[in-house]
Order: sequence, then structure tokens, then C-alpha cells
Amino acid sequence: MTPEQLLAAARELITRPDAAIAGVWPRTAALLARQALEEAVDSRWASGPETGPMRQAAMHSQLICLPAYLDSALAHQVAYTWAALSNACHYHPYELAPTSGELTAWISDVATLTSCIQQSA
Amino acid sequence: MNDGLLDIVLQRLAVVALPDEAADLLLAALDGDQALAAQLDADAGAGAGTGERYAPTQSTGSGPEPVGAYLQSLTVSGFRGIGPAATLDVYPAPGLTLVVGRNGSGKSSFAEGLEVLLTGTLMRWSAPGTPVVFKEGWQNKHATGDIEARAGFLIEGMGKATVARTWPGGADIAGSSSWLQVAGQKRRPVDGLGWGSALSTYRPFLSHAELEAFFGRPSELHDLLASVLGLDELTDAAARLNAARKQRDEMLNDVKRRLEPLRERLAAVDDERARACLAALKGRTWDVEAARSAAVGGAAADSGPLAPLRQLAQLSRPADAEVTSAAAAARAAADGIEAIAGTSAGQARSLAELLDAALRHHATHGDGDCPVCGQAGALTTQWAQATREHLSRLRDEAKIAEETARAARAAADQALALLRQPPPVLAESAAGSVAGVDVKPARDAWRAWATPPAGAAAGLTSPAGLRELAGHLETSAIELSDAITTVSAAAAAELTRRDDQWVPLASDVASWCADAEPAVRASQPVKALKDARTWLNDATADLRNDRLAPLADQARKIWSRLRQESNVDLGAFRLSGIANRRALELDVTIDGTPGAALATMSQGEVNALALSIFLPRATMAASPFRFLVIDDPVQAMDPAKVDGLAQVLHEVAASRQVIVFTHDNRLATAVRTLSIPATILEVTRRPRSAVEIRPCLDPIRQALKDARDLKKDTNVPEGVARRVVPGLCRTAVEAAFTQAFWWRELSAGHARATIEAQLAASPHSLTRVAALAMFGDPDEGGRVLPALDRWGKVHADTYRALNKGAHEPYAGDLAGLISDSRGLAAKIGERLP
Repeated sequence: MTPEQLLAAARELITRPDAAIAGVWPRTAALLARQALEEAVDSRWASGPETGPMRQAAMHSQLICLPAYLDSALAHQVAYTWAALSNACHYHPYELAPTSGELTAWISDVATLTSCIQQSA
Repeated sequence: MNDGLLDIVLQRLAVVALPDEAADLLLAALDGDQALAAQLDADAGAGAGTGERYAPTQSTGSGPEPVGAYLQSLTVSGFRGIGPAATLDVYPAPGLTLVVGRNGSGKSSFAEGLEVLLTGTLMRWSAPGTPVVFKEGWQNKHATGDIEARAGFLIEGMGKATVARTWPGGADIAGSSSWLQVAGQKRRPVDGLGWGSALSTYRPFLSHAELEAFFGRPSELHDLLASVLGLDELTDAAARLNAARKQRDEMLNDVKRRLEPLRERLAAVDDERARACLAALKGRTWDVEAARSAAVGGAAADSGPLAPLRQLAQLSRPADAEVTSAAAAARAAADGIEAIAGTSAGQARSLAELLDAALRHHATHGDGDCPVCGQAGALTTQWAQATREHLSRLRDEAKIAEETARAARAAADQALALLRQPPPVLAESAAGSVAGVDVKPARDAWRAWATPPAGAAAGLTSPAGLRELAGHLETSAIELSDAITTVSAAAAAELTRRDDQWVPLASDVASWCADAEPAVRASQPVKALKDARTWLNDATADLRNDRLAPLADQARKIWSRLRQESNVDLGAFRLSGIANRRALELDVTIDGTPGAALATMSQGEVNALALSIFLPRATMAASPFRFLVIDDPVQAMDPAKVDGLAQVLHEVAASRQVIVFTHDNRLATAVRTLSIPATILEVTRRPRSAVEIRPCLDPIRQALKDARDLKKDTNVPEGVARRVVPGLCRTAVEAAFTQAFWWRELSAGHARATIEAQLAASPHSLTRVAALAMFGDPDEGGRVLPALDRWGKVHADTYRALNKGAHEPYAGDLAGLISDSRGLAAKIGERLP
């Protein structure tokens, strides 16, 4: 799936009133948004001659390397958003799921970052 | 005063006009108490409006940039959770330091140790309702010896300075002594730093307890913000104008209060002087001068009985001696006439007249018979000759008679001259009495005296007339004297009675006048003072909100980072009201609906909002504190807000030394996952309050750790690793040089702005940053390599490899580069601390 498709799916989860996914949708939406961001980063690695295999590296390694291949402010923003989404899609004891407002904001951040990454490739 | 403010005031005066007198008072008040007093005196002297315009004092400049201070170390012993001395070392440069530790690990004791060291107290103790147990438990149970907090600072223009505060064991919290020591100088009092008011204005400490109390009272919140806006000179001037106005109002009110009873007393007295005073003092504007002259007996317009009474009391009548001598003269004249009557002397005059007529007859008609007796031939030349001789003798005798007659006339004139008409005060008092004094007997006596005796009509020069006149003089004088004495005594008594009543009242009126005159004069400028103050209050309110706007903007930006999904919107700030009604108006809306948003906000939201306001305030350009200590800001904060907070702190740390104490792992986690460069220190406490501090992470370690992680990840292609790892190593070494440069420059007392400018002018240039750190000059890059070579060949090689690695993938051993870089960074820290 492309980042755009993943983000559309995430948005739909937030807006669709569906009892079947009650309680699950916030973290699922966060997961989809994070995947969209990872896809965008992957596409950046795929576009370079030496960086292709980077998609197999740990995300931590990928985020460390990004500033060398992207505008450093953009790379920092990607790392920040990825960390925030990552935080949101794990079940932390005693921590509440993200709210729809937070998710909507993140999804729009990811959409912006994705297009910035694609333009820089 | 401050020229910037003065310009603003002058510009506004050109737009919002104020009468000259008020404008001058305003400008004088801005220059201080003395200037205002002098201006008020000048106005009083010259008469308002005629004096020269006030020329405001220009200050020598808008004040130097505040001297910035960075914290280098903090050692605390025996205070709260800390037993034996424990030291917190922080890098004296902008950047973020997190001090993490469990509750009870002693980390808050560091935060509070610094606060008590600099301010002498703890703000949370001054909050009402602080349990006594907090105040008593400030000394550590395991402390041996003195309790001390000691901090090392690097201060612009001063270099290294140590501040310490010591309490002898068992002392009260207030029983401390403190000192300041600038490196190489003697110890001196801490106020040598000049931080006194800045500590409360820009308060570089913020604790969770304070965050919670932030919205306690609207007036406190108002003051917290108003104090940073630099408008104190305006509020001071307004207070001065108000004090001057009040003092003048009080003077006038005091005089007014005393006037009413005085008026009542004046009205109760039947005395024209009292009436004159009352007339001068009626109504709202008084003729104090007229009242005073009526009271002290100046030229009062006399229409009452006082003048006649005074005349009566001092009536003068013919003197006894004059009366006696006139009577004696009259009698003597009468005696003289009688003495020559029937004597030859008496006949001589008539005979002489007869013989004179006979001689004239003989001269005309010649010799002849006697025309009297008829004797023939009696008148002859011989007769004429003999008669002439006879006549001469007779005339000598007649002269005596003439003189007697002249003396009688003179005596009569002398007596009549004494018989003057009564003086007007007696003659004109038709009623027969003056203010109860009966003047009739005196008037009658005087009239009787002035009337010559009836018998004298026959001829005052006759002996009988003269005698009667003498008798009149003698008897009437006695009656007149008695009557005058009586009336004068009565008038004098009446005058005395009136004065007894009036004199104390007059003296009260006079002393009231003495106070009223300056009070009335002092009240002249009251209206101008009021106008000036109103103008200044309006101007201050506008300026305040103008100056608040950028601070509010910053707060809104921070809030937007911290709020995350909160539906609370922060709009404009306004400082409103004065005195007891002053408040900070926050335009806070929930889902776009204005209202009592603060009341419906969660504690976490309130804390975040408080932090949004606190941070811009504590980081104002005018603050001397380049450090900022925040104790536990994360409590009650949602996870997303913690991420936002980490971002905000990261931004503040670009220009400030931010030290955050937290018991909550979340902030440290957020800093790590968000790759925010930070130093993380962990505080742990062993039994007996032995507090230890262990460095966990700092920007150097962080970069090197990233490099190692990358090196270890076998999935990272070789080419990528050879490109990225040298960059990370270089970041670490550059960070070490940058820290060293800050230390070098601040220790030398150099200015922060210069340090920042030099670093900003050398972006991403390892050579320039190294040259700055080693030689203080970015252009000394050529000397770096030889100097590093002297430290050790490996360091020079590493430096060369890092410089090269920035431009092309590194061909050598990556693991070796990482460990060599760590070695170089450590060496930098060692050689250039």
C-alpha cells in the first residue's frame, strides 16, 4: 500500500462509527499512520544507489541516518512524529489511548512529511 | 528616567494632550520625588502657568544589557534530603539538562537548595497553609556539621563566581550567613551580584507546587507579569502623583474640618469683627486675608459700636489747669476794672476826652467863653497852653484804664474758648446710648459746659460778667469731669467685656488662617495632579498591554505545543484594573466558547497553561539569569503533552541553560525518543541520605551511542554507515569543543552575545569551532592540528579523519573512529574543561 492509501484507511477508522472496532481503532489508526511514514522513508531509501538495503535496518538506525540524506529539520520532524506514533500504538500500562484529535493531527503531519520526503527524493 | 520610556511618554503627550501644568508635573514625577516636589514649589512660587516648562532629565542611556549568569555547579549538604555534601555539575552553557530520580532521591533538594541559596527562603513555604512539618524538616537528619548550599556560576563580565549560604547546625532557616566570591577577589555580600529584584521579577525557579498555585489570586498573576514589563518607573510616578495629591487634599480637608466649628463660634458672637470674619469665610472659596485682618484688628471697616466705644473710653475734656487759669484770669480782670472805677484814673479818660474836645473847639473858634460853664473869656491861649499840659497828664492816667479793659476782653475770650461744643461721638448719638453705655449725662454736662452763663449777656467784659464766667467755668468743669469719667469708664468696661469674648476667638481665627493659607495654596495643583495621574494610568495600561503582546504570543506558541488535543484555546492577555482590582485577564475559550475556562480545565491543563506563561517570563531578554530551574513540571500531564513539553524545553534550551528535575521517566524517554540533545543525570540516594549523581547521557555520548548502534546494525549498508558514522563522531567532538568554548569565554567574563555570535558565524565548521575553543579565534584553524598533535598523535589523526569524513565516506575502521572520537572528546573536556 502507498502512504496515501494507508493514511486514508487511518482516517476512515477515526470517522467510521463501527462497534466492531470499538476500543481498538485509536491504536490501529496510529499503527497505520506510522506505516505510512515508514513507507515514505522506505521510498527515500529505494531511490538511492547505496541506500536500498536501509529498509531492512532497524527504524532507530534509519532515523539516525536520515539527516545525512534529507534536510535535517525535516529528518528531525520525521523522527519526532515516528516516535510519537510509536508511543501511541503500543499498549502502555496505565496510559490511555490517543484521542481522535491527536490522531487527526498526526495523520495530517504524516501526510505533509510524506509529500516532503517524496519531493526530496 | 529611562530614555525609551521618556520618548514614549513624550510622543503620547503630543497625541493625547495634557494642560501644561499637569504635563510638567507628570514629567517631574517621572524624574523622582525631589523633582516633583521642586516642580510643585516652582508652580506655587511663580503662579501656575507662568513658570518655565519642566525639562525632563535625560538618562545616560537605556541601561546596559543585563549581565547573564550560567550555573556551573551546585553543592548541597545537610539540607532536606541530602546528608553529606553532594554536587551537581552542569555545563555552563545553553542546553537542556534533565536530572531524573525517584521521589525522595534528593533531586528536589537540589532545586530548593539553589532557591534558598539565592533568595534566602522557599516560595512554597510562604504560601498560606504550609504545614509546619515542612518548615521544620528542612535540616537533614543525617547531617553532620554545618548546613550549606554553594553554587558556582559563570557570569558575563565577571567570570567565575561562587555563592554560598551556611547555617550553623540547629539554626533556624532564617539564621544563615551568605557570601559571594568572584575568582581572585575577596569574599563580599551576595548583593554584589545585583540580583535582588530580578530574582522576583524573572524568578528562574519554578516548582510543581508553584505551578499549581499559579492561578491563585488574580492580583498575584497580574504582578507576576506586570513586573517583567519594565513599566515600574511609570507606576512609581503615578504613585508619586497620587501621594502628592493626597497629601494636599488632606491639608485642605483638615482646614475644612476645623472651619465649621469656627464658623459656629463666630456666628454666636455679637461682634462686628466676628461678622467680618464670617463674611470672609463663608461659602467654598474664602478670603483668608480679610479674615485674618479682621481677626488681628487691622483695618476692619467699622460700622459697629467698637469705634464710638473706643472714642468714649478716651474722651478728652478741657484740662483742669486751663480751666483754673481761665477762671483766675477772668476774676483778675474783673478786679482790675473795679479798681480803677471812680478813681482819677477812671475820670482821667473822660476828662481827657472833654478837654481834648475843648481844645479842638478853641483851635477852631479861637478864644471865647467856656462852652461848659459859660465863664466869659475863659478860653485863651494861656488856657490852651495850660490845658494841653493837663491833657498830656490825663492821657497817661487813661492808658491804665484802657489796659484794664483789654485784659478783661482777653480773659473773657480765654474762658469762651474753653467752652467748646461736645465731640461728635456725644453730640451724634441720638439714641442716647452706645452699645448699652448711657451717654446722655455726659452729653448734657458737656452741653451745659458749652453754654455761656445768661448773665454774661450784659457784657462779658464787665466785672459782673467776668465773675459769672469764672464761676461757670469752675462749677461746670467739675460736673463735666464727673460725667466724662463715668461715661469713659463704662465704655472701657464694655470694650473689655467684648475683647474678653473676642480675643480667644480671634486667636483661633488667626491660627486657622495661618494653616488655611498654605493649605489653599497647596491645593491649587490638585486638579493638575489628578489629571497627570489619570493620563499616566491610561498610558501605562496601554503600554502594558502593548508590551505584554509579544510575551502573550510566546505563551500562545508554547501553549499550542503543550495543549496537543486540548480544546482549550488561549487568546489575548490583558492586564487590567489598578490597586485591589488589578488582574490578568486571560482570553481562554473552550471549543471556541468564552467563559470560566480556567474553572473547567483539568489540573494538567492548568499546569501547562501556567508553564506557558512562566517560560516566556523567565526567559525575557532583560533577565540576568541565563539558567532556569524547573522542578517536576510533568506531574498530571498527558503523555502527548510530555512530548510537547520536551519540544518546548528543547527550543528554550537553544538560548538558555535549562535544568529540569523530574521523578517521571516520561520526560527523559520523550527526550531520547525525540532525539533531543540533552544531558541526563540520575540522582540516587543511599541510606543515611548519601546522594549520588551519575551522568546517563549527554549530547556527546548520545551522538557516539547513535554511531555505535548504527555500526552494530548489520542491516545498515556499509556505504551508509561510512557516510553517517563519521558525521555522528564529528557531532560529538564538535559538541565537546562548543562546550569548552562556552566555558573558556564565560570564565574569562566575556559576553554571552559575543559567544553566541561567534558560534553562529561558524556553522558546521569543526575547524573554526576547534579554533574558537582552543585559541578564542575562529581564524586560528591552522594552529589546531599542531596543538592536537602535542596532546597525542591519535587525537590529531582523529581530528583529521573527522574533517575528511565530512566530505567523503570514511575508508578506515569505523569502530576505531568511534572510540578515538570518544577519546578526543574526553581529552577536550580534560584539557579545556
